[in-house]
Amino acid sequence: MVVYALRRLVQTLPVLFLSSILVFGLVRFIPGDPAMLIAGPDALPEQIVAARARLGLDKPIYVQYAIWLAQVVRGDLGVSILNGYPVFDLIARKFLATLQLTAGGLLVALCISLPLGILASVRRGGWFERLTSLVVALGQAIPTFWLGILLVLVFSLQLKWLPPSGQVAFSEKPGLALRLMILPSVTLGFYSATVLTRFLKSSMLEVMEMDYVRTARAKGLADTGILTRHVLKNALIPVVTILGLQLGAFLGGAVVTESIFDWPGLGRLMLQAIGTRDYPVLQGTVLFVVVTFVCVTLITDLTYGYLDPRIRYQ
Amino acid sequence: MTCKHLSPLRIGLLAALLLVLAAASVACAPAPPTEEMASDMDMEEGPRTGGTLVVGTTDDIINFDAFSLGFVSYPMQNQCYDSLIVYDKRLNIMPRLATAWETNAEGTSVTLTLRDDVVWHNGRAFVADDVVQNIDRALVPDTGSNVHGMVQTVAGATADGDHSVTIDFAAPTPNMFDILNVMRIMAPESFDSLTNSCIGTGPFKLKEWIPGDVLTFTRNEDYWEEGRPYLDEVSFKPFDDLEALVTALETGIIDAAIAIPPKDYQRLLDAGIAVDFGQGGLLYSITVNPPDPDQPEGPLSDKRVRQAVCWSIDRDAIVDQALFGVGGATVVPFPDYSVAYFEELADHYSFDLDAAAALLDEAGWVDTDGDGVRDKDGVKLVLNTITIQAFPETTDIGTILEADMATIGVEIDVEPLDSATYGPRHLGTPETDGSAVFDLDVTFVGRQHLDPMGLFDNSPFRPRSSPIFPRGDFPEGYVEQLAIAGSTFDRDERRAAFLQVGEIMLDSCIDIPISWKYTLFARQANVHGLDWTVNDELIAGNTWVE
Repeated sequence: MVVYALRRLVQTLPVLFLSSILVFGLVRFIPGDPAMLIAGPDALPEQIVAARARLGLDKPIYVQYAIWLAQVVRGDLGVSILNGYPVFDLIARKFLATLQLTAGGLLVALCISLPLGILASVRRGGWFERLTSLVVALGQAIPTFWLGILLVLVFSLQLKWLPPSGQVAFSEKPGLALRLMILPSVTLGFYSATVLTRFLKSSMLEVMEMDYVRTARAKGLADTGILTRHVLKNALIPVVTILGLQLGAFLGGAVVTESIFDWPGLGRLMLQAIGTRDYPVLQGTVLFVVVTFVCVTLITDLTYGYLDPRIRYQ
Repeated sequence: MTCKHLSPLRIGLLAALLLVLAAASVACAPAPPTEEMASDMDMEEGPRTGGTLVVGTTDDIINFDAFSLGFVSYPMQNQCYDSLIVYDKRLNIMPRLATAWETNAEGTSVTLTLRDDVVWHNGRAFVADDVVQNIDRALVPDTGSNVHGMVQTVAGATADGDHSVTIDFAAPTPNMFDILNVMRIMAPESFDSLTNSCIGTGPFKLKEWIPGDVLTFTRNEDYWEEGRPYLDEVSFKPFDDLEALVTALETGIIDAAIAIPPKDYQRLLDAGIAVDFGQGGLLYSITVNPPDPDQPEGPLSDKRVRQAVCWSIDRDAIVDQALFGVGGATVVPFPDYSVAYFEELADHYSFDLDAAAALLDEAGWVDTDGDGVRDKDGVKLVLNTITIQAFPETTDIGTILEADMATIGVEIDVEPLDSATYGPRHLGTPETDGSAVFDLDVTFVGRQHLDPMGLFDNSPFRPRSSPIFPRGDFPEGYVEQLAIAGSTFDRDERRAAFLQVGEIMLDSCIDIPISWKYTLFARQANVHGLDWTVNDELIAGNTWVE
């Protein structure tokens, strides 16, 4: 298991290297010039040239990449070209907010998908399954931004039950933090909930047809026991894969949700860095997201071992 | 009872009951206090000390360099800094760091007497040499940022002891007080750290900046103006999403907001939010970019095509539909109190598509292939029109123009750009030899509401390094008349020169003024004394909250 984990880690190195080239190249292909923002709205040509030189943007692109890569290898993601803050500090601060939102989104996704998926498979063919199918279809069809705006309109503007935007740490004001989390968590988690429900339901139905389940029934085991001990655990294996992917996407920053709810997480940091062409921040954040995704995928793979002892890591 | 026992009818009834209860709770919610009620409370109780003001903004501050006049940054920077003088709303000169001023007879020198009770945020006393160092900084292109272009006639500054400074000009400079008004004074020891910190003499000190999240200033206890500021703290919160900004105002998450979009003006009023108009010193306009002499000729090389665009602007429709009534149509770039305003020019162009079509016919642009778009020598009459994404009304203006000009066979290709892409297209780059990359640019310009020379600090119209005339090939007489207008105090001489400049601009159609642009300041009813400078910088020093 340890050897497998280490080997997977080593395998990620070329992935990260290629990602770094891709990230750097793509970022530089976005039209625009951060020197213009720094030089100001009516800057003179010589001021723009000077700003470019200060930022190192006058060097050939491969030289800029080499400088950046050398920094990254040393664990230094550089500093923001706009505000001078270390990129690592900016990411660390925003990641905490993203982690908070991810936890909320995941909780919503699980709270909706587990009961819906299980009940829909148990009550197959009934009105509950049809209702679940409708919810799943709606959840996958509704765009996240639309759902977010709708929730704000109803629960913040009309009913005035929940604040529409902002974020505070749990350690500072737990009550307010919880209230601020509800709408973005539902917005973020709802789509994942419907995806997970669909997978869980079909996986449960598949497992319920297995011989060992029929045997358990024939032996006279209670339905609840069969469901929890034999069906659910096995049905969760494909669901964990999807959950891992969703979790990776959450941690990578839910750009739309964070923008709608003014949530100061990684998604907004990336969006702002794109808007200002803050290359070091954008490159550092995207690289961080790639690393996070790789780590979550690794953890997901390792979780299989717990859920299905038949899986052996070679 | 479990869900299994709920019939669809019962579920429906339960849902209906919940909806009725929710509606009732909304209907019974207390109405927000009206502005009249709030004003009554002001008069009875007066300003209160303490509290925090949270201001929503459309973007984050870029840096704390007071010479960088970015539209979003400078209203926030204003809390940290003071200028030597300010203009009041009627454009009278008022003292700030300078208490008195005296110009020489030729208008080539001004001597300022400085306050002797001012300390920087780091505790050091403010002295005349600090002003000298700021002017020296402004004179260097690399550090002078946007102020550098304004101080072209400044020869230098010298300190006369600790509290007197003389600024010398190479030529008479009628707009010298505009320069003093716009130039905020920074502590010289902070010059190297302006990317993320500020040391000024303003009413608030920088407390914390979390980029993209919040910028917080705290009260300057040693502020020279007695009893000010009232607030303990003022925070600026950037919103990426304009809808989220407006919603945050409506729900009381933030106390005030700067530069809300015109489309939300009425919505906020309906929600009980007070919305004030700023000075109106900005101007929506369309900059027209004719090809440079070393570029292939294009449709806009022909003055008649440019004039056709000038005749195609439906200002009333734009003010109604794109600016939602928040504006005032104008054909000339100067307000009626300006020395550069002429009644006879004020209605030079109207909305007349027939006149526009006739000019295009005369210029040889006709629809030869019947596809609805005029052409000439195999080239279609298509005009690339850039707009600013962060100001959606500029795109709406472009869309109205697109619809109108389509009826006379001109295709307007509207291209909204984000700030980092707009800059290189608007200003040009070293790769384009400083030449702007657009046919039409729906933009806004500023500072022409003070001395008219302010308009000619805006990049398209400045005589030096204009991105629409990068080779200096301005219309005949433009540069010469501007030089006269900018170097004499003689009112008649100035008016004669400005009249000629105005006629040249209208005839050549390089700038199409559309409407005055009002910065909208929104505030909750419990926020009082929120004010702004003539350049629409927020003044939080006089603000208090209940």
